[in-house]
Amino acid sequence: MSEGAVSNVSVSGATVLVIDGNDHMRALVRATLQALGVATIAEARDGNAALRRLAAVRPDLVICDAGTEGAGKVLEQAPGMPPVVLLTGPSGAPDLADRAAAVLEKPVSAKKLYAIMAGILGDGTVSPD
Amino acid sequence: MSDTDKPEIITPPNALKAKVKVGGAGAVDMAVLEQAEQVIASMADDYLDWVAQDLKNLRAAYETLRADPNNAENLERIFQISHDIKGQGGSFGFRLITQAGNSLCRFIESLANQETLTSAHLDAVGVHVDTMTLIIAEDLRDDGGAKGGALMSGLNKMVEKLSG
Repeated sequence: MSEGAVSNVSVSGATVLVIDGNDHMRALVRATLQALGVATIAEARDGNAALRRLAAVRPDLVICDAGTEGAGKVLEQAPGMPPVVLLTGPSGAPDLADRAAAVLEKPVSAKKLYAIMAGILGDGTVSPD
Repeated sequence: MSDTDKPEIITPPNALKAKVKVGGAGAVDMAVLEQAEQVIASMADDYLDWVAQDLKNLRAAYETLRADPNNAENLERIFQISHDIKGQGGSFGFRLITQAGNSLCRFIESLANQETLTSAHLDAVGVHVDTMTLIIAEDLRDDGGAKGGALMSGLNKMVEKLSG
């Protein structure tokens, strides 16, 4: 993302649910979100756990690893499901990507993640590129 | 249909507009983004500990597979660990181990219709484990340069031969 593309959107008020079966990647995404100012972050290890927590957490945005068990269920747009950012590997996830609000290809970077969040949660004018 | 039968359309309040704002306190600028990138970079040291444990688990799972090659759960365990390694590496500057992990995942997927694993299949899994161990032992970051290219070329040729 170029310097001029920063949208100056504050995302600190948003609640984000991170779904990833890998403890380290969840820690990475959480730390990145915290550094971006997001104060309320919930976590789930798989799609089923995420769906169970949905009503209690009431997230504004979900970040879901494509390889995590139950990712497909998360993308089925259950009642109360907010926009989902799909976290993929280098080969993508063509079977899931169409149902996601955005796709974030690893490696995770703060700039790419913020650009996607600002685009979805803000005015929709920010590109992750 | 009477008026009382008509479905009531409820438009939920857009609470997000109240939570996300442009400018002001908490606004993200380039300095905040750079700090956030530094947070990711600072986790790289932790990553080396994480991947060391993952490689230890991968090696143990491989030894279990060799002892009991036709137990599908053993191969699935290797797939899960290599999938984790694949997912993490690039985010911490180790793109080469992500490529090697991806190669192992794709190779295991190609074995789905194999009723029994041959010694060549098992050896190929072992070569992947050795390669990923070498990548971390020799601190081959990013694409690993010429050595990384040679390693991936070797894996690709081996997988192509066995999967074809």
